[in-house]
Formats: sequence, C-alpha cells, structure tokens
Amino acid sequence: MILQAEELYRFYRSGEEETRALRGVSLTAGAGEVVAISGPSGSGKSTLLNCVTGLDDPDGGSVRIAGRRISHLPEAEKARLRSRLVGVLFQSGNLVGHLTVARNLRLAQALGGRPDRAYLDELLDRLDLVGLRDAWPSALSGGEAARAGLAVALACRPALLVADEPTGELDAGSEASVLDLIRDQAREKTAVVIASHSAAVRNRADRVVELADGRLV
Amino acid sequence: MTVVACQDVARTYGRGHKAVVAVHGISCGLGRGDHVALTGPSGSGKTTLLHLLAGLDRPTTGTIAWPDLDDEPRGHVGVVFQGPSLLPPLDAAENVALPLLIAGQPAADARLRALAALDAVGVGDLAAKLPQELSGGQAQRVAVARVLAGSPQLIIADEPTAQLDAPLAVRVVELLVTVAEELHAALVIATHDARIAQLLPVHWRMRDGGLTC
Amino acid sequence: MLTWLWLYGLLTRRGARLAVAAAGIALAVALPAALGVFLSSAKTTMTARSVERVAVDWQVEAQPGASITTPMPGTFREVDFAAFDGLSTPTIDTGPGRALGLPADYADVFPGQTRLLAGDATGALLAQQTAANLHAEPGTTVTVHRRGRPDAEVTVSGVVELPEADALFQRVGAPAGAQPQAPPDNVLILPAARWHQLFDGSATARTQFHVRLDHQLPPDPADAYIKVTGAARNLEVRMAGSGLVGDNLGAALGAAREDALYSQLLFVFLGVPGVVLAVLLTASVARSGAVRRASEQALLRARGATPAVFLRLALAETLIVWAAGTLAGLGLAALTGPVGGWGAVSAALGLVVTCATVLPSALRPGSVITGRAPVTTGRPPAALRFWLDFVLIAAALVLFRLTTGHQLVLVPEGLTQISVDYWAFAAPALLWAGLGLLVWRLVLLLVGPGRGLLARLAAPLAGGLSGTVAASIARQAGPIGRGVTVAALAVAFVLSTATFNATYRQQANVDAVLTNGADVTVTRTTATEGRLAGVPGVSAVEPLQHGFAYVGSDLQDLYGLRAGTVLSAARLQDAYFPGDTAAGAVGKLAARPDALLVSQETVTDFQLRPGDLVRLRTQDGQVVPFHYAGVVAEFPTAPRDSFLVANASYLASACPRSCGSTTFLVSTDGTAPHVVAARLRDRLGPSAGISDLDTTRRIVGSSLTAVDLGGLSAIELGYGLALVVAATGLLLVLGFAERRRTFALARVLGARPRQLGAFIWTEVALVGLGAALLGTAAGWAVARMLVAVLTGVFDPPPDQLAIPWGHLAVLAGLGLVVLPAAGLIALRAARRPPLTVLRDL
Ligand SMILES: Nc1ncnc2c1ncn2[C@@H]1O[C@H](COP(=O)(O)OP(=O)(O)OP(=O)(O)O)[C@@H](O)[C@H]1O
Ligand SMILES: Nc1ncnc2c1ncn2[C@@H]1O[C@H](COP(=O)(O)OP(=O)(O)OP(=O)(O)O)[C@@H](O)[C@H]1O
Ligand SMILES: [Mg+2]
Ligand SMILES: [Mg+2]
Repeated sequence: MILQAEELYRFYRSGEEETRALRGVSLTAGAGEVVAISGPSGSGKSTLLNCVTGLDDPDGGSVRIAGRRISHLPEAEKARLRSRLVGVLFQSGNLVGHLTVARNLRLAQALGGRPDRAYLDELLDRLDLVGLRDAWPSALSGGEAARAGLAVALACRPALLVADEPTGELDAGSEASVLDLIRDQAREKTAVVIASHSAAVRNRADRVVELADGRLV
Repeated sequence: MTVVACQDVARTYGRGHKAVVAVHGISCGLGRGDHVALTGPSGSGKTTLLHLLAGLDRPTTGTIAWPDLDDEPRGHVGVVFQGPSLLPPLDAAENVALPLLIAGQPAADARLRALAALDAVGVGDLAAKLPQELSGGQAQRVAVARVLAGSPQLIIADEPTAQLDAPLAVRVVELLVTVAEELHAALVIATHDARIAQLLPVHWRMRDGGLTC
Repeated sequence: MLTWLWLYGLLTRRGARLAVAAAGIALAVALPAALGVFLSSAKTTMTARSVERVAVDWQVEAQPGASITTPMPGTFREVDFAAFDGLSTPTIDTGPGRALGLPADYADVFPGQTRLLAGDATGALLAQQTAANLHAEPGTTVTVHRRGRPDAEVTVSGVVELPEADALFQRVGAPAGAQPQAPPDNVLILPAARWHQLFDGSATARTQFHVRLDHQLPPDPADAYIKVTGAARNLEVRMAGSGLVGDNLGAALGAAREDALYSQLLFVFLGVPGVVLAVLLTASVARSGAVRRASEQALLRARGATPAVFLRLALAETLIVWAAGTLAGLGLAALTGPVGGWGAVSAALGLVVTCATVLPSALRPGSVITGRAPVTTGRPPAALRFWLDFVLIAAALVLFRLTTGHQLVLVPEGLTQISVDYWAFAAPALLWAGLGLLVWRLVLLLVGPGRGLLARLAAPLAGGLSGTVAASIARQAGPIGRGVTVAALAVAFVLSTATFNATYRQQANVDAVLTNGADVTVTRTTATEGRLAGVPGVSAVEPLQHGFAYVGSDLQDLYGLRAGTVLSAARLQDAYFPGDTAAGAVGKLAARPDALLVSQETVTDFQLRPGDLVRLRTQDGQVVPFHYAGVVAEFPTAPRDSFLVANASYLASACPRSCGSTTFLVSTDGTAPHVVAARLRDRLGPSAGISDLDTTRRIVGSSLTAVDLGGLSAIELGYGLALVVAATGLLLVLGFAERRRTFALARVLGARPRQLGAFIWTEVALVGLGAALLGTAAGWAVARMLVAVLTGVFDPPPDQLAIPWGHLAVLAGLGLVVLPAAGLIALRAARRPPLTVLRDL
C-alpha cells in the first residue's frame, strides 16, 4: 500500500464554533490504483486530502505513505517525504505568481531533487501547454491554470498523486486527456487519490469512496 | 429590450509578437429574458467575453452597448466569477450584503436579503464564516448568493458549478434561472458541463476566440 | 539552481516590494552611520578647538634653587617672572604686580598670549588694566619699584591685552582643586635682556619654559588627553624634581573630553530609538507581504520544501535586500561626510536588522494551506496579554525616581578615564517602549471590542458602508495596530527629541546671556551712561558695579545693581535665584539698602539666616556692613559660582573708592549685538572692554558641555521626519497594496471611487489621528522625562520645556501632505483595471 490513512479526525475551531470536518475516515490506495473521493460540497474532501499529504495534521488517526508515518512528524521530515513521494494539486492557486509556467515546473523538480527537462517537456505537451511555457500565471485561463497545476504536481514522478478537483474547470475534451495522463501515471505504479464531483472521473477510477458529512458512506 | 449588444468585438492581451487574441469578431446581443449557456474548450475566450459583457473590461476593437441599462452597466450586472472572488476580510453575510450597500440600501435591509440569499443556496448556517474558513463549493455558493441578493438586469456566471456536485449544480443553476425570470433579466452561464448547458434554452459555442450563436 | 530560479522570479516580478524593504533597511543603516560620522567629526573638532584655545600648551616651571637641563619637547621659549612692589608715573601710583621677561619672538611663537592694543612691541609693555590705572600710553616713562632694590625706569612702548592671564600666572604644580589664583593687578612685560638687567638675582625671580607641542594628537579628546597628560608626567619624571609642568593643553582637553562624552551620550539617546524605530518599521514592511508570502510558502510546502529550503530562499532574499538597502543607506550617510569605519559598523547592524526582520516573516511556520490566506484573528499579542505596557511604564517611573539627580558623566578622582552612566537612559527608554505598547493596546481595543464605536466614527466618511468598513478594519487589526503604533512612536521620537533640542538651545542661549550679561557688555570705561545711550542701536543702558570683597578669608566678586531698572535691562532668569523668582530677589534688594544676596555655599558656611548681619572687607581693608537677604546661584557676567550681589547705590555711598568699577549692560534695539559692539568700540577706544552676545554665544557654544547640537539635530530630525513619513505613508500604502484584491473585488461589485474612498480614508484617518494624538502625548511624556534625566547637560537647568513650534508645524504639515497622498495613491491604484489585479493573485 502506498497510502494508508486510518481513522482520521479533524475538527476546525473558529471562535465558539466547531466544525467536524472529518469523523473517523480511513483511506487506502495501492500502487497503480486510482481512487476517487466524491461527496457533496463541504463533506470534508479537501480536509481529508490535506491530512493525507501531511500539509495538515489530523486531530486523531494516522497517515502512512509508503509505509512511513507522515502525520505528526516534524515539518522537515514531512517535507522530505513529500518532496520524494507526493505530488499535490490544490483546488485553486497552484502556481507561484512570480514564475512562468515552465519555471514553476522547474521549481518543483528542483525541490524534489530531480531536474528532468525531457519529462518537463513531455508533460507540457500532453497537457497542451506548450504554447504557454513562458506565460505568467496571471495570464492563464481557469482551465489552463488547472492543467499547469497538474503538470507541476506530476513534475517529480510522485509515488502518490493527490489531486483536489483537477477537472472542475475543464471541458470534456481536456478532461479526457487529463484522465488519460493520470491513468498512464498509475500504470507506472503511482497511487492516485482524486477528489471530484465529475462523473467522468468516477467512471475511470478503480475505486470510488463516498464521503458525507465527514464520514464514509 | 436589448440588455447588451456587441458589434465586431475583439480583445487582445499584450502587444507585439507576444499578443494573444483572446476573442475576435464577436457580434451578439442579449435581450431581457434571454437565457444562454456559453460553452467552449478551455482557453477559448469564455471568461474574456463575459468580462466584456459585464463591462468590467474594454474591447480592443469593436463596440459594446447596454441600451437598456443607459450604457451604465455598473450596479445592474451581477457576476459570479471563475475562481475565488470573496473579499477576504468580510464574512459570508457581509460579502453578500456588500453590493446592496454599495447600491445604497439601508444596512438592515441588506443584511436580511443577504441571509435569505445564503439560505437559498444552502449555506445559511455559514453566514458568519470568513472566506478562508469555507470549502471550495461553499465559497462558490456564497458568490452565487451575492448575485441572487441584488436585483441585476444582467446575470453573468462563469463556471458557477465547477466545484459543485451534480445535484447541487443543477439546483444552483435552476435558482439562477428562476431569479432571472423573476427579474426579467438576461442570463449567461459559462459551463463545460453538457447537462448544465441543457438546462438553458439558448446555446452559444466558442472556439479559438470566435463565437457561434 | 532552486535559489536562482526563485530569486530571478522575485527580482523580475516583485522588485517593487524588495525595493521598499530595502528602503527600510537603508533608513536603519543611514542613521547610525550618519550619526557616527557626525560624532567622530565633532570629536575631532573638539580636540582641534581645545588646541586652538590654549595659548601655551605647557608652562614648565623650574623649582626654586634648581635649573632645568632636560630638553623640552616641541617649540619652547624661556620666560622669566619677578614681582615688584609698584609702578608709578609722576602723578599716579599703583600697587604691586609682576614683571615678565619675554624673548623677542615670543609673540610669533605664542600668538594667543598677548594682543597689542596700542604702540609697538619693541620695548616695555603694560597690561591694559595697568595702563588704565596709570593713565599711561606709549611713550610714557614709568618707574618700577623693585623689591629690595632701587627703583628703575622704563619707557612704555605699547599696551597689550593678556587674554590668557589666568593660565599665564597660574601657580604651576598647585594641587588639583585648589582655588585658582587671580592674576596680578599690574603687569609689566619687558624684553628678556632688559628683564635680566632689572631682576636677575631677585628673590622673586622664576623661570618657565613655555612649550608648544607638535599637535599630532588623536582625534578623540579623551585619547588626546591621555596622550598629553602622559607626556607631561613623563617630562616631570625626567626632570627629576627640577621642574613642574603646568599642563594647559591637558586641562583644555580634559574639559573637551567631557563634552565629547556628552555628545556621545546624545548620540546614543538620539541614535538608539531611531534605529529601534527603523527596525520596527522594516519589520512592518517585511510583514506587509504576509498574505502573498503565506500562499507562496504553502505552495513550496506542498512541493516538499523543508524549513532548510525556506531558510535558504529567505536568506538569499535577505542578502539582496540587505545589500541594496545598505548601499542606499551608506549613500545617504555619505552626504554627511566620509563614512569609513562607521559605515562598516552600520552595515553590520543593517545585516542584523535585515535578518531580524526579514527572516522571521520568511520562516514563520508555514501551516497555511493555499487559498486560505490568513485573516488576523482577535487574539492580542503576547506582550499585551501579559500587561507588558503597564509593567514597562511602571518600571520606567520607578527607575526615574531612583536615578534622578545622578551624575550622568562620571569623572572619577585620580583616573584618566571618564565614563557615562548609561543607566539613566533606561527610564526614558522603558517609558517610550511602554507607551508604544499602550498605544498598540488602545488601537486594538478600538478596532476590536470597540468596533461599534469605530463604525460610528467612520459614519461621516463611510455612510452606509460604515459597518462593513469597521468590520474589514477589525479583521486587519494586526497590521493596522502595528502601523499606528510605529507611526505614533515615530511621532513621539521626533517630538521628544525636538523638544529636547529646543530646550537645549534655549538653555545655551540663557548660558550665553549669563556669561555676557546683556546684548553688549562694556567694562573698563570712564564713559557715562548717557554717552553710551547715545550710540545708535542702543535701547537701554544699565550700570552694574563690579568689585571684590572678602567674606571671611574668601575673596568673592561683588556686584552692585540698580534694583529699580535692572530687571528690564539685564536678562535675569528665575533659575538664578533658587527658591525665588528674579523679581522677588530684586524686590528684596530694593526693600533694604544694605541687603545682600550671597551664594548657597556662603549661607551654609556662615549659617546665615535672613536678616543676619554680614560684614565684608574690601581689598583696601575697609569693613562694610550688609544684611543677608537671599540666595543667588548665577548672575550675569559672574565668573564663578561664589559671589555677592548688593545695591549699587549702597556700594557707592559705603565704599566709593574700593567697591569696584562700573560695567554697563547695554540692550540693543534689535540691531545685531556685534554691530552695536563695533560702534561702541569705535566710540570708546581700545582700552574699553566690550563683548557682545553673538560672539559669546559662539564661544560658550564651543566650550564646556555645549556640544554643538546643530548638525546632530539636523540629522536626527530629518531622519525622524523620514521615519514618520515611512511609518504613516509607506505602511498605509503597503497595507492597501496588500489588500488590493479586496479593493479590486469591491470595484467589480460596483463600488464607486467615493465608496472605495470610505475604506481608504477611514483607515488613513485612523492612522493619522492615532499617530498624531497618541504620538504627541507619548512624545510629551518622554520629553519631560528626558529633560529631567539629562539635567546635567543643561547649565543652568531650564525653567520650562521649550516647545518646538517649528518642528510641530513641519510635522503637522508633513502629515497633511503624506496622509492624503497615501490615500490618493491607494485610490489611484484601486482605479487600475480590477481584472488585472484579480488575475495577479
Ligand atoms: N491577462 C492575460 N494576458 C495574456 N493572455 C491572457 C490573459 N488572460 C487570458 N489570456 C489568454 O486568453 C485566452 C482566453 O482566456 P479565457 O480566460 O477567456 O479562456 P476561457 O474560455 O475562460 O477558458 P477556461 O475555460 O479555461 O476558463 C487564453 O488562451 C489565455 O491564455
Ligand atoms: N479553516 C477552516 N476553518 C473552519 N472551518 C473550515 C475550515 N476549512 C474547512 N472548514 C469547514 O470544514 C468542512 C469541510 O471542508 P472541506 O473543504 O474539506 O470540504 P470539501 O469536501 O472539500 O468541499 P468542496 O467540495 O466544497 O470543496 C466545511 O464545512 C468547511 O466549512
Ligand atoms: Mg474542497
Ligand atoms: Mg474561464
């Protein structure tokens, strides 16, 4: 198993109020497996993904990636694990504003310690971004930014790809090519976890996990 | 009864060899009661066109007029933006009430209408939350509520359902249609989702910056 | 690779923000560098002035019965002294005095020692006072009554003034702290050969070597002092008792090193708060990018950036900001002089400041998840939760109680090192810090719990939007609170230092008045009051008797004043009369003809109570009764702290011959004192002593404790104003820039410029009023404490604080320009196409 998340709890406190975003969610993903997480808005998908990548610590439960526990580790160790094993795509805002698209990819590769120009070019090509290599993030359309974000997440050939709504702003054609790319990654033993509302994503996933109100259904 | 009319409109970003022609040669019009779905591949110019229609951006060439709005779109157009568009320092209710206050409504009225609009899109219990505490779909619904709360003559929604699951997406679009009908307003929704497009009677398609009505 | 990639992006896309941070660093670097440059040049000037002021560096006197064989350093001349019993012309006699034998080129080697007033210097010369006593002029033949020898005759060839008579006739080798010896009343100067003819073998003959050292001295007066006094002691040791050194240069440097220390003290007191402010400002500037930085960091975290990577990127950014800021800062400082070593020190300081300000904000634990930019929550900062503001203010007050009256500059007995009691600054420093925190608390109270009040205050500007404006300000409590606090501290800094400087200048003026007595002072003249009053430019003339009298065995200056008119002509200050006012003290004199004001020391020595009989003995032995009426601490023209003040009319009737001569205090009608002085000099001839306030102010200003604050205050006030501008305008603009997304969104929602203005002007008003009101209050409190702590710098202590109206006006004017400008800039920026702004975030 690449990803093993057990009994995750996450409560947000703002003032007096408490939001129970996760209430005992477990999730696994093996090498080459594509897992889709679906659920209504506010059901805790993004929260779950943030815990899985170690960007946020769960209030209860634990997360293991490639057998190593990532939750509640010191930031430096988490970061090292992430840089080697995990590719992250957020719901929005995936690009560093002062770097062009290509430089954003190079930055990700540099952080992961795997500069690989050839792969970088291949990613840009497959996501139809070649013409936008040198575009600044502020000049991208919604869909273009989403694809560039995915390219950055894949730039280091991660063992685990965690993507939040990667196709929300894509037309059917782009969505299909993005999903093809993701399936190809899975074939190379990457475990993929995608939070999405899209029927297309659910159809092409190996497994679909339903989330409602912070619990699995 | 034309709310907005474009005549041979083009919009180019940047200059020289780096110039990007985002939309070009567009002539179209929207009357009161028109409900239009705008579709097209990513990067085809949907957002650019919508911003032009809303009067938020000026065409590089061509003209746009709002005959029914006395050519002053400000205050009469409600826009749901693609991507985050809530004011970070204001909570959900304050965000929704802001356009009403800007239009000069008394604070108490504005707040009541804001709360009602939040209820309508299913986030009434999140009225006191700051944007940073909302999930993607919740924030998007607050942005829709902001349009619903006003009385726009022209409603423009850019991918208002990108972050929403199918039943919710349908509900939100139906809500937009209902409100547009009540106000006898023009409505344009950009979407890549065929099922959403089907909910609307008229279909505009974009490809490489050009529009086929 | 990673670092270059990052930096390249920053420099190309975020250059403006880096430049602003660099500007903050530049401010932080420029002040200490400029002050340092100023301090060293001031010290060099002090040393040079001390050297200039001394006519003869050393007077090496052979001890009785011995003769000096040790070679003298530098340039030297032999000078002979002898006493005589009197001088006379056929009609007039005078009392005893001293005869000097000078080599022919003495005046060339020691030009400051004698000043020829009349005749030529080829033969016998009379001192001015002696010539006046004898009514002698060049050509007059004078009989010298030698002690134990027949009289001799000399023909006067000229009249000279001896400006440094005190030093010239000093008792070489007198124990430290001994009463200085008054110079002789009569002085006759002879060419060396003639002196030897007349006085060789006389029992009173003394020989001195007058030495001018090579003036290769260290620039710092303290070092120069150590070098000169060391050399003097070394010479004494080598002379093995055959001679003693009268170290005039050492004495002057000794005074100068105290001045230098005072200026160093001012350097600290002006420099440290300035640097602290610059640090706070830079920190605020660095933090102002927090929202964007947080989302960048969130992205980097997601890509697996470790804290070490953050550190590396932050360091790279820091070094660039530092280098740019330091270069700019040193460039600024170079306007005041060559920066040299101070530049290096400031650059190092700048590095510390940069690291302390940029690094924390770059390293703040990145727990932020993208898209969820942090809006400040209501929790007040730790310092306020622990009531640190009240603790600091209380500590300041306690320390102030404990340290008032402490000597600031310590001159330990018998040591060559002197030191400053820096502890005295702890109280004002703590007060300043405490008040700053208190301002912060007040602002946070207003924008947090006091949000309803804020909304009501904003209503005139914001109308229906006031609630929304208040809410948005409340959620920006952190940055706004910090901004107002830094701005208020800057205002307090400028005001307190300006007040201090104004008070200092006021007292320097008082000091000059005290020394000179009036706009122009005329002594040694036979002219009448009426004749002086007729000179153009003179508005009033006040005669003042001056003589000497013994109190017990102590010879003191005795002044006689005209109680009816003195208040209007002489600028008497209340501070001259401890426990009384000037009018009160003069009233006491007027009430009783034989009333006498004496020094506190005399009161203590003789256990005087008001009404007690005091008998004074004049120099010719006459005893005059007075009645003790009050205490006087200072008096115009009075050289020492021990003196007596009585009614002139009583002196004239009780001791017409021996109670001294008349000094005239001349007030001008607005004509510059030195102009009137020149006219008087023309009218009265060379023998009259005429001094004016302009010249005195210059002399006083360059002598003891009177560190020339002009340059220092210019630097520090200019800098303070720059800080105020930065703390108000710059921080506001940066804050608005940070929220340009908010404004752009408000625009696309239909807000008109006027409505955007509601957000902007409310905040501008909040910052402006907060800084002005709270800063002024804090500045006033700190100024009061500073003046109290630094009383030692003032001689005499001030009656009240001088209010720096000029600076207040400049500050207010600056606020009226900068604040609206910041608002207008923000408004203009908010008019930029909002879509561009929205896409750029
Ligand atoms: N500020 C800009 N500068 C340069 N090019 C831009 C800018 N904004 C948009 N573009 C380009 O213009 C084209 C049209 O963009 P637009 O955002 O209108 O597309 P869209 O149809 O809304 O796409 P999506 O469905 O992906 O949101 C894109 O190719 C985009 O790269
Ligand atoms: N920082 C936060 N503070 C308070 N509540 C939060 C915070 N982040 C998320 N929440 C709440 O937690 C719940 C789960 O949020 P989450 O973002 O995980 O939902 P989601 O499933 O990703 O929804 P969507 O599909 O709309 O993106 C929501 O009710 C949201 O309001
Ligand atoms: Mg989500
Ligand atoms: Mg778009």
